Amino acid sequence: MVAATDKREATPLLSVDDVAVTFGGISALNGLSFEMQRGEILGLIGPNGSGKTTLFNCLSRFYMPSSGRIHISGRDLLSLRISDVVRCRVGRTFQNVAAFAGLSVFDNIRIGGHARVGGHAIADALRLPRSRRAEQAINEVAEALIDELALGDVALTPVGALPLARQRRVELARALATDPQLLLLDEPAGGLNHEEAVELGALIKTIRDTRGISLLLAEHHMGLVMSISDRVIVLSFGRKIADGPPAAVQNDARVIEAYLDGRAA
Amino acid sequence: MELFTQQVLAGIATGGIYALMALAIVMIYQAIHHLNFAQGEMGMFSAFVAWQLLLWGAPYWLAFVATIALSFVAGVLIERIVFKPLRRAPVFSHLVVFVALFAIFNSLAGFIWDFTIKPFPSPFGTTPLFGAGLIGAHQAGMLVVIAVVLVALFLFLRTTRLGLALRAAAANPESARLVGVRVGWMMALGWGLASAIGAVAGMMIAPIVFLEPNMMLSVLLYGFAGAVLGGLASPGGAVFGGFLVGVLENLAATYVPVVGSELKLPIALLLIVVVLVLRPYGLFGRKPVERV
Ligand SMILES: Nc1ncnc2c1ncn2[C@@H]1O[C@H](COP(=O)(O)OP(=O)(O)OP(=O)(O)O)[C@@H](O)[C@H]1O
Ligand SMILES: [Mg+2]
Repeated sequence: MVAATDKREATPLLSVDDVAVTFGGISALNGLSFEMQRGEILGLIGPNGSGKTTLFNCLSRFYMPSSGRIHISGRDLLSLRISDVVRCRVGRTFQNVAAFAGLSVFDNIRIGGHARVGGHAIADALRLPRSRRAEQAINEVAEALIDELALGDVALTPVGALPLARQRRVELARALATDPQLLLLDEPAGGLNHEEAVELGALIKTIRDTRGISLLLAEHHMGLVMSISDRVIVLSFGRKIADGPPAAVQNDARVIEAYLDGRAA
Repeated sequence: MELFTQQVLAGIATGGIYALMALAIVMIYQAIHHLNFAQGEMGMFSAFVAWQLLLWGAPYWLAFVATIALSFVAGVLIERIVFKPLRRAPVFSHLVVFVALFAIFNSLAGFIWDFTIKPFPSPFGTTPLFGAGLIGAHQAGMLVVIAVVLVALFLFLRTTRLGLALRAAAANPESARLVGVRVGWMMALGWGLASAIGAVAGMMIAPIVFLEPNMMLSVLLYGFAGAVLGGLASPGGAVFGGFLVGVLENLAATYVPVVGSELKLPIALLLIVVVLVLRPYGLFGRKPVERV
């Protein structure tokens, strides 16, 4: 019993091991390895084109690494199809918002709840009691998230009609509705003003604290990353050049150099 | 005035058939972003299946429901067997397959049931309703059937989890996969529904145009006109477009002397061209947002 508990704790939530991705000769990720613990907020920074989104796309199975391994709670992620990643409880938002534009905010969040209860097409078609209960549960989850993320005033508005900052909120709510243990946020502060970014930082911390989940946060907004991350990883040209607490990473000579190079280029 | 009411009602009745065709076309368009040229022939083939079941002695409504079920399964199989492997193929491959499906269903129907014109029974009889003969019994019954299909589909898409998953898969396949929707199966479901809707259209129009392998040709074109008019991205718009085409067609044939029945079809086609020139995304369609 004790041994079993130890083993579970010893297995990291996420382990990325020597992952490489190439696009026609360009190496977007190169020998990337790192681990993530439960409840951790991990910042992921790096100049434009350094491979942050590429890593996310590997974690959601949109891209297949040319080599390397990825495990979620010890489970081999790269053997799953995209629609099964959600069953490993990995949720995600996109750098270019990818909400269901024509669907209402409520429906966008409800679809996230789908994954949680699983689909039983035949039971659904026959409107069996089990399906009704499942649908009830999905609606309750969606309503709670609408309250939590303050989307009540636009619940029935098509997402495409909302300003970008709110569309990002909807995407976040949709991801949370899938009940993730690992949440990947790709530039959630993109297009937000300073005030909104501060608010977002507080929200991310609350999400971690109330749910005990881990977040991987790819961001250019240094203030946000450095203020809420437990640890920060820095990518440059697809390679990891630093990994440590925010304060240490910020003063790392290689990191400063990478950013200066990026600016000069 | 009575002539006008009569023509509008008749237009709404045939428009209902176009609405079903337009809806079927949009269901598939949303799944694979191509127009299914074989939609009419699939509906025609379904009508022949119903006719065969009736010939074997099945009661009308049993044959009706069985045909819908068989057509649904056939639609799912067509997607799984023919279109799934083509998912990333260029437009031209799709075009060739649609033309092939068209020809296969057309000649298969001719081969099995020959090309002679056959009467097809109406479950509602042929007597005019309301004494004055404002609308025939078949037209009235047909409108009820169409209304039931539209309401059932609307409720399915709006209120069930599966309907939500189907809409999500059409709106953004990648995001849908990410929340666990099996997008491939949703496409197959879209095909099954389109095929079933086409079957209803075929069985309802057959008593009017009579049963023969080429019976759906003009219906398909009117359906396209309706779908384009309403905007290919909007099922509700397509349904409205179908009804509109039906009414316009009838009024033009009645009140514009030169149109008559020969020019009805060119009028519908002209309508497609005019709408596309003025509003490339249809009356209700939105220009897709492009991100760079
Ligand atoms: N699908 C693709 N095809 C070809 N090249 C790609 C593809 N996706 C990413 N790349 C390339 O891989 C490299 C890493 O890109 P990625 O989008 O991961 O960077 P990023 O760190 O997310 O940048 P940003 O901060 O601008 O979002 C870039 O050189 C990019 O051009
Ligand atoms: Mg990126």
